[in-house]
Amino acid sequence: MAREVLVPALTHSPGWPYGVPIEELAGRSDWGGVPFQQFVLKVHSRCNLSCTYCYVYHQVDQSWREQPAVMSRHTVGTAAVRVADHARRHELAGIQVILHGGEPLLAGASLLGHVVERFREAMPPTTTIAFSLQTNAVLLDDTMLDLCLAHDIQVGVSMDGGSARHNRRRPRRDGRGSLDAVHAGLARLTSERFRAVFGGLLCVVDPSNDPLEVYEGLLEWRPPAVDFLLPHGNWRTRPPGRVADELSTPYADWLGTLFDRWYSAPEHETDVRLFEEILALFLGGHSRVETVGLTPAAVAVIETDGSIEQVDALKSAYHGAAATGLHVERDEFDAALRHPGIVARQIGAAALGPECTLCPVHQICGGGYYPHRYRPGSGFRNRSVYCPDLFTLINHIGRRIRPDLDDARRRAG
Amino acid sequence: MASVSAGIESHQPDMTGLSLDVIREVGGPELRRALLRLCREAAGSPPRYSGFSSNIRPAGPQVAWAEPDNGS
Repeated sequence: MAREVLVPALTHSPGWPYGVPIEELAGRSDWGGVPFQQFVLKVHSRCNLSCTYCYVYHQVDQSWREQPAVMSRHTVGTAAVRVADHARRHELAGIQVILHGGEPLLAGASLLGHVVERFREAMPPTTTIAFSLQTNAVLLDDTMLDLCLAHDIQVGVSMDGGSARHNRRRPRRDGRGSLDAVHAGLARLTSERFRAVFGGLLCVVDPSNDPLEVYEGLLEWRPPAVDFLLPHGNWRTRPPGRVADELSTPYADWLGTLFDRWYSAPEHETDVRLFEEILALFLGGHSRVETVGLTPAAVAVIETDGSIEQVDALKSAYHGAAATGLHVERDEFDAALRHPGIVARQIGAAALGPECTLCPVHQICGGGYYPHRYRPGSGFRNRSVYCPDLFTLINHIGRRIRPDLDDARRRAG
Repeated sequence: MASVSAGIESHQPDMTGLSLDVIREVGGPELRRALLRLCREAAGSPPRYSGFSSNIRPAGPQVAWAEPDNGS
């Protein structure tokens, strides 16, 4: 039996879902939760870049300062055993382990190789394990890529389009631009030798950039997948350009232009995750990513010191927002399944407030990304600070695909 | 709440009624791919969880887990 979760003491009341009994949150007395299927391993807590919008270093949560720089081999081993226990207990056919940071490549090839081997050793034979890594690509040399190739670690790269803007938004810690090093790393990754482990590109939206220029720049690397992430913000700290005037929708305008470009291409060029998930939701399917839809989130984060946390983007809300008070040394992952913050992300529309549930698109936006709903006092039971943009974008996509669906229905008779 | 504008359906269309032959003739590659994904999901276990957004890799089929006996 998992022990009860202790929500760590905070300097203020975070609001919903904290303080609500689990049975009330879940709407049932025997809540077990959706088992975790993705484990984000913070193998290194520091970064060699200092991105202006980073939620780890440049927003309200400063807990990185209390973390060891690198995950110890002891913590890796303990985490592997805990994850394997979770997989065994829930008879998981497959899990994903995401090597993350900070900048995970700062951990070095030796430790990363140890992580993969340790997790593979620990896992029950009935559970497959897929590894991926998210990097800024600055340290992506042949040694690292040989490691990724040998262990089938899919490599995702974070970059923003446009050289001048990339260097301004993603500088090194000493202020120098990072783009040349990123391009060198990407050139290696996308070479014939290593392309098999190229996972794709992540780009944070900057509405002051030309969306088509950004997209075309990313496409030059022939990525198998791309996603565009909204910069983190909430009702207390609004994202850049997300002004109070709800008729202004700079992010929807940007993404809508991009959707039209992607959707109208005569041939498939790349997966754009956000758009693919919205299309799937329109068609009655489920989302595979936590940013849209109401599918239960099944992500657990293991911090560098072994703490079990919620998704790190919560660090943009308030100091300690991602914490659970749990640790791999003493707690099973099942204990985290009863943490209010985890439960809130697994109960679908029950996590939404009335202004969302009355909205015709709530099953598609899912209320927006959970960290973006935070408002001091009421917590996370609010619509997203991006609500006007999400609503406009979803309407735009709905209008765009409607004639094609009608045409398909007509042909189907 | 944002004001409601025209053009969005309050219910989602049921695509399971479309045959693969019809889907293959859908003009745009992205809608065609989305429809095929829905067909695959309808034929097997639908994905029952969503994943971490700060990581990107090509989407593969998701696998379901066995329901625990005791719900704990």
